Amino acid sequence: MKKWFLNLSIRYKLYAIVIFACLTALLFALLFSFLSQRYLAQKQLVDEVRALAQVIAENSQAGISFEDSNALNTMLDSLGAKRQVLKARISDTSGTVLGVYDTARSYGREYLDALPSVPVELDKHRFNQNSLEVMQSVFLHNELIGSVYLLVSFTEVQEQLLQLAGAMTALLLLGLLLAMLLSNQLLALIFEPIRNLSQVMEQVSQKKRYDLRVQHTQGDELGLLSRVFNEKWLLMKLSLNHWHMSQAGIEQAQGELWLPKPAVKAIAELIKVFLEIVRRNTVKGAVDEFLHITNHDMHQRQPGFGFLWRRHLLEVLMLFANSIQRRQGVGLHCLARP
Amino acid sequence: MYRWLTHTFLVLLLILGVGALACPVKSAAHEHEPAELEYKLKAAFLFNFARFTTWPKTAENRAIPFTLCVLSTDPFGAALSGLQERSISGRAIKLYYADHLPNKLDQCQMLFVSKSEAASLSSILKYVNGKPIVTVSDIDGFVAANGMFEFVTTEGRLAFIINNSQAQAHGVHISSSLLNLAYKVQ
Repeated sequence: MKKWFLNLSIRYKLYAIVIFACLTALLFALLFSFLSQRYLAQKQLVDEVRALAQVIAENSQAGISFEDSNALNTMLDSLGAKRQVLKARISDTSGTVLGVYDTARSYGREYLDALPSVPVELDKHRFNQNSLEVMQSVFLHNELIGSVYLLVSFTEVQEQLLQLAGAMTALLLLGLLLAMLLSNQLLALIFEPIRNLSQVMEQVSQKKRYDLRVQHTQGDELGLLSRVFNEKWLLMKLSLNHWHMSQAGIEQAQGELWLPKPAVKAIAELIKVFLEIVRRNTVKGAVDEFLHITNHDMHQRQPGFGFLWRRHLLEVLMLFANSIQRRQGVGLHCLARP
Repeated sequence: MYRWLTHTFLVLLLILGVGALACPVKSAAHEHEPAELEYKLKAAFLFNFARFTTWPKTAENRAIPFTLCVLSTDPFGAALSGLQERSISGRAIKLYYADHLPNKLDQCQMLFVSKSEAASLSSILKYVNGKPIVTVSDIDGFVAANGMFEFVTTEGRLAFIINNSQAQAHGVHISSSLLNLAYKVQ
């Protein structure tokens, strides 16, 4: 997987990274949102059912006191308006059932799991797989006179949560599609300069088009890379013209270097010195002598021409010298004595 | 043969005699039981009436026991005495049996008027008029005569009629839960 990813082009790597990051962020956000919605829906249901149980308890005080089953049953019948209430029961303290409501509808029953045989404690609620049980005590003048039991189906809430999950999945897919479209357009800003650079490098290395330059308009790392690339090739070109002692070529290359004139002059001089040493000596000897000369001499002559440029120039010169060595298939020692 | 007939006749007489003696006893017990049960139920109702009724603050002194009065003949027997172990809004229940008016009836929060007082009903209700005393009776037309709670029997069940306007006139508030259970509210 890692190898496969590393072998991808930069364009697809960036694309994959953006999509993966978007997918992870969206998944996390939607999962968090879904779980919080689920928690809130459950909490809301519990609050609603407990409030309903309290209302029933308040209104059943007289019915329980007078053991008036008709009144209690009539009151419980009004629960028919609440689709999710499947069962309700009002009992006195001895456990005698005084009022019962049991919906005749089949709604939600198919989802009902086997209810635990242990009854719910007073003033507590219990979640089963698909249902909620609430037990509410009934007090009259601080004296416990009975209890109200409600069994509520959780199916409606589950259906709503399923709809929410569907909507969130659609949102996730839409978000990913949007991320793909946007990243496709925006990544071109990064990818185009890279492609441009790689194409120029390919032309230079395969077709020996040393006249090619990388267009760079950005001030970022890619712009810097393009500028360094262009400078290296100009220095190479300058070195080549020095090697062949082409005065016209040297002047043209010097003109193309966009550096202050004294700096260009100093560079040209250093190239000349280096190549003269190469002609007399090996690359290693030339490097040592080059460093020796520049350490003592260069800073006095050109203070703005700093350490980094010296290193940069040395790299180019070594590259040039090695290139000449490879091309001619002979040792630099021979090259040094034309 | 003759002896056998005489024997059979005597046995039949004995069976009939025992049957004749046993039957009145059994029917008396049957007659007695529903009345006892009825007043046991009425006693429970009296207690629950009190639980769903609020008296004016002047009559709600917790330090003073809740006084339930029975005027004239006591039809409850032992059914009421059980209430003395219970309380209403933290007040102990005290029973007071009065033979006639006024006989300290001002101390009552609830007054049960026995059927035996049907003839003097108007004078009793005139006496309690304007006082925070809840009046209850099983005399027919008690509510119509400005009583507050009247026991009635409908479809074999004990029910009650409430004269809420009369209760309000006495400064007594009856809970809506209780009004909902009433057979009739006036």
